[in-house]
Order: sequence, then structure tokens, then C-alpha cells
Amino acid sequence: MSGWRIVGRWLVRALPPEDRCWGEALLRELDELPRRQRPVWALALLRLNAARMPSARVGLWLGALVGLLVVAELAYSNLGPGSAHPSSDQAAPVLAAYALLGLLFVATGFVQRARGETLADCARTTAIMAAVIIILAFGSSLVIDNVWLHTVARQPDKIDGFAHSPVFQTMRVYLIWTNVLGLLIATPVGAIGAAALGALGARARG
Amino acid sequence: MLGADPSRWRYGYDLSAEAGISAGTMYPALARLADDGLLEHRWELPSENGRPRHLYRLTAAGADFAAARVTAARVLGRATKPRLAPS
Repeated sequence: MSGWRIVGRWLVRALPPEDRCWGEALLRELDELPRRQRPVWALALLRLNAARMPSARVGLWLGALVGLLVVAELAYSNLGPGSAHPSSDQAAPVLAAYALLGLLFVATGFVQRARGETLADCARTTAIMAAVIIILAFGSSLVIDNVWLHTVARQPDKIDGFAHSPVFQTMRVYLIWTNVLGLLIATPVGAIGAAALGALGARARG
Repeated sequence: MLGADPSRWRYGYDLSAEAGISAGTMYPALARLADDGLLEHRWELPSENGRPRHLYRLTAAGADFAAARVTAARVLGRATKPRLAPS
């Protein structure tokens, strides 16, 4: 099964059950189309999802917006002035940013509920938001660590982490491994946590 | 377009090509029409050489709605034409 078809099937499944026939219809049309027309119709599946699942759309957009801010901060702290000594993950500004993110999930759940969404949809919105943010953050971290390895490898926390991980032969492998592992663990855990906070906000709205 | 022959079942690709609108615009619109009871849809019976595709046509209410919209557009066109004409 080709890559776009796997994504397509996933997008169809993401639709509410009563709307999946529309996604299936698009996939069937895609099969009949010449190869060069397929990308446009594959994008149509994304637009169908956005139109038929408001909670997913809100989650995607907000997640992308916040995620880009996180990416910008990551790029600045790793490559900008003072990048040789970036803040530790336990530093007050980093913890404050996590708290702010948590509040944003609660507020999003609250506002979504006020817009008439169900409790489950509110939780889904914040789960998607968190997943998008985490994927963007770890994805950009992976790129930064590999492209600017010589800059990143001078940071004390990376040197320390690498020194205490005898499994890895090189700093590059160590950084790739930590990013990929982080992505695989943080995405589901973050999404579940954000869903709980979104549901909390929605519950507060009543 | 669907209103031109309400009894005829149409494919999504044909409708998109004929109307000159993207599938991304058309499918959500078709879904909304179906929500409002203006469009009916069904799967084509599978043939030997192909997989079934989704077919669409207007319901009786949809055909009435389309006819009313076309009439309204014509009336509006007649009403605005003199104003748009150079004096």
C-alpha cells in the first residue's frame, strides 16, 4: 500500500462515522485518476476533514501556530546568542512555558465547549494540538541537531547526556536517538495529558 | 449542474471537472447538501473491472431548491441589468 493511501485511509478514519462515505468516495475517485492529478485530490481529503470535523481543524491550526512559536524558540535557544549555555529543562522560564501551555489547553477546552462542542470533541481538539506541537518541536530539534551538530554538540547538557550514555558511538547518533525516542514517547503521553486538560476546561464551562 | 437533470446519477470527478471547482470545495459542499436532505448518494454496483464509486443526484427537495435558486438568479439578473447598463 503506497504512502498516500495509508495517509488517506487514516484521514478517512479520522472523519466522524457518518461522514466516512465522503472520504471513501474521494479515495475511490483518486484510484481512477491519472497520477499527476492525485495530489490535488489528496489535498481535497484534508479539506474534507477540516470542514467536517471542526474540533480537528481547531486543534490542527492552534497546534501549528503554537508549534511554530516553539520551533522559533528552539532555533533561537540552540543557535542564537548564548546557545552554548541554553536553559536547562528544569529552569524557571521553561517550567513557566509548560504551565502556560497547560493553561492554553484548559482555555481551549473551555472555549470549544462554549462553541457547543461535546466534551469528547474538546478533548480531541487539545490532544491534536499537543500532538502537532510535539511533532513540530521534536522534528525541528532533530533537524537542528543534525544540521548544526557542531554548535549543538558544545552545549553542556548534550555533552553530559552523551557522556552518560555509553551505548551510543557518536554524538549524532545519540542526538537522533534521543529525539526519535522523545517523539515516540512524548506524542501519545502529551496528547493524553492535553486531552485531560482540554476536558477539564470543557467541564469547567459546563 | 446537478439540477440540469435531477434524475441522473453523477460521479464526483465529472461534477468537479464540469463545474470547474476543486474536489476540496466540492465534497464538503456535497456533504452539506446531503445533510440538508437536498442530495442523495449511493455506491455504484461493483463492475468486473473496477471498484464501486460514489454517485450523487438531487432529491426532489433538492431539485425544487435548485430550480428556485436558478429562478431567483434570473430575476436578480434582470433586476440588476438596467442599473449596470451605461446610461
